[in-house]
Amino acid sequence: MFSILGPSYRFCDGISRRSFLRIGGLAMGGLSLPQLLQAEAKTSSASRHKSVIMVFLSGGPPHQDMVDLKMDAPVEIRGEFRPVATRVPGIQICEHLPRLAATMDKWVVVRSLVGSEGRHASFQCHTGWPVAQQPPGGWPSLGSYVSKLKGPADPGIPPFVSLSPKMKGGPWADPGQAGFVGPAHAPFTPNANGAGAATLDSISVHRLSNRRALARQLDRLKQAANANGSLAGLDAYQEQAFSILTSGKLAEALDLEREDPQLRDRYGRGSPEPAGYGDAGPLLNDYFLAARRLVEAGARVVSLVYGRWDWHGRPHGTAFDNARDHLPALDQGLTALVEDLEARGMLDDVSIVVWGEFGRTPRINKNGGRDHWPNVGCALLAGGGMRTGQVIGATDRLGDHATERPVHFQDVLASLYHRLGLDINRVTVNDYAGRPRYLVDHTRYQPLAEVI
Amino acid sequence: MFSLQLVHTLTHPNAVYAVAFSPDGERLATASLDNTIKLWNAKAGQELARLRGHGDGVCGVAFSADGKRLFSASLDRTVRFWDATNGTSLTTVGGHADYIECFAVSADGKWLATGSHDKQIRVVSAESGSVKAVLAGHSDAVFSVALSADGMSLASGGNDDSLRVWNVESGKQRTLSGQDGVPQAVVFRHDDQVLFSGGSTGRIEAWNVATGERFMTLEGHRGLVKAVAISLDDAWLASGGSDATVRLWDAKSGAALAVADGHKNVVYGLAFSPSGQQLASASFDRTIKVWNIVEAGR
Repeated sequence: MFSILGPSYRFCDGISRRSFLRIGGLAMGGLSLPQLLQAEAKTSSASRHKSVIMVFLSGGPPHQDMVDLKMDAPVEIRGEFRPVATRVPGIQICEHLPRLAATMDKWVVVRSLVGSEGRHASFQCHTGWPVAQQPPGGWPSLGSYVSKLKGPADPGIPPFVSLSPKMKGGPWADPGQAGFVGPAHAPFTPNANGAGAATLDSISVHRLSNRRALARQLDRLKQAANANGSLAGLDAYQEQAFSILTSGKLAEALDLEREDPQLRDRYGRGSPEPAGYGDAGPLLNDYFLAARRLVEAGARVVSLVYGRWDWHGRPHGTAFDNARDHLPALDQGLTALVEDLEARGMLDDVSIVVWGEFGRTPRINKNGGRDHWPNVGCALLAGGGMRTGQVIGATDRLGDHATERPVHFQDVLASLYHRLGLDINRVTVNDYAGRPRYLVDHTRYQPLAEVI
Repeated sequence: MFSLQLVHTLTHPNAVYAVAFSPDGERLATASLDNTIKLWNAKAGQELARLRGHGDGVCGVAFSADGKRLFSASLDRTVRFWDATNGTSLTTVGGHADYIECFAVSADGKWLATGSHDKQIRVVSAESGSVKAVLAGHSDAVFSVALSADGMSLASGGNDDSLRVWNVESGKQRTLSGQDGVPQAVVFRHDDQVLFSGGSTGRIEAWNVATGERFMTLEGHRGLVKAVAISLDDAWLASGGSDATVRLWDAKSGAALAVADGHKNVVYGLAFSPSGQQLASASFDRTIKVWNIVEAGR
């Protein structure tokens, strides 16, 4: 990633601004601005575009304390929480997710997420693949593929936006790599330099529109990038980058002050500080609202990182202390998002996925925590016109492994591509070696028939 | 009849582990898993300063006897001394090989104690930071620690299910038997004759320190008792736990006096104001609540 404006850059008006605009996030799918405008003119409305909101629960959420409680397990496995009935007969989830329970008809619970490589990273949620043995250029993330294949829905809004803030743990903060589709399709990352506030308050975008100095900065960046070969074809994106910077739509979408305070309260607001000892995503419910505003404005994929779910126990609080803290906040934010999307008539166009890198150990450790458990995890899906109000898969009595309908990360991503209108059995993109690559390994993984 | 009437709800952006009043009762210090300490005007409930420097959560906090210094213990394995008037970090004391889990200060303000996941307890001078004692004997993490008024006796609870009383000078220890699981919290009465311990299944037990006999059990909490505190005049005992309640007891008779259920998560820390008229509770729900202790009809 390359900063357009370095930390010490001073505008000609003498005002120094710490920039967090990133050139990788200013991609436009290789299309010129006129082409884009023509393309959009052919669609009925930019607001009808299909999109995805990906909520990454950094650290590995505890499947057995959220959506797959094991009341028949021994006490050292069962945990402290009780299940509650949901709006869908036969489905029970944790007592600390009451709003999700009340709206379970809007959700799909995947209880059999498998295939985790057990690494603390967002990588597998973004790409479906393990970090090891990547093809030349690296695996693209969902948002980067979509940026490449669909381009922007609106010239003023990047197709792929990640709200991930800066963290000590880089693999958690990873907003999703562009891989072999090229850095032009990397996510726009407005919070990557900051503490997580989902706004562009610290930069005066309208002033940028009058500053041809920006173009000169881009030229200099291009020269530097070409010198090391990392940014081929930047010319094609320069005008589009400038369009994003100057349209004001992006800044508007990220400006939550424009929202009704009551709606912000319904989402839950939250804190921009790390949710766990200086190294985690924030428990910032404003992110959910920002995600809605971004997809409404034209973003095709918005990812966000939420909370710290790596609950190994004392002295950082037991798994249950932390769950009592995180679950109600997540419950509020997710249900507000679905409610809001539905109220705006957007729910069938916006797919939501909520997951982390793995599940957690069935056995509670001596410090009241649960450790990493790549054997099985969970995911939540909503919107996108999916058939909701159902559970997919099951685990054994201890929550140790999937016993029914194992669902791989790539099965979930295949479902999201399907909802975005991309045929995983046909669409390919060449890697840096020129080899065509499918969006997922379609010989093994397919969209979930239960939801499409 | 007594009640706990909520005066202030103060917040951190993460769980709050400990709270302390300044000796004059004018300020509060709060310690959080957000790696910081906050100083507050206790009467107004206004934040005065936020002290940064620890590299992990802060699990303990106390003022010096003159109120000019602040001491904090952190999961980053260190104890820090701060200038309480301007928030400057003065000294950092290390020594533990794993997380610090618990912290205590002697009533005379001269000694600090820390218990750690390294299974050891360290006692250091509150004046110089020099090590007075390193107490080894627990076979698992030390989850609770308390110092006698003069700092020469120490009580500890371990994840090894043991409750121990130590002579700090000699390092000799004895184990009190029959306690309620892992002692999650301990505190001495100010005359040092009685030790209170909070256990794993909700019981608070009172022990004769001299004989090791348990002579009283206070029941009411559901789940762990994570915090106990005693008023300066030894009249009242306060407790908090995983049931998110704060409870006030008659420390002599063991009678339950009041219950407050304003927290939404485990209560990890408690402190009486020097006047005994207020109680502050720190919770994993990211809040500190300040309560007036009110007697009906007064």
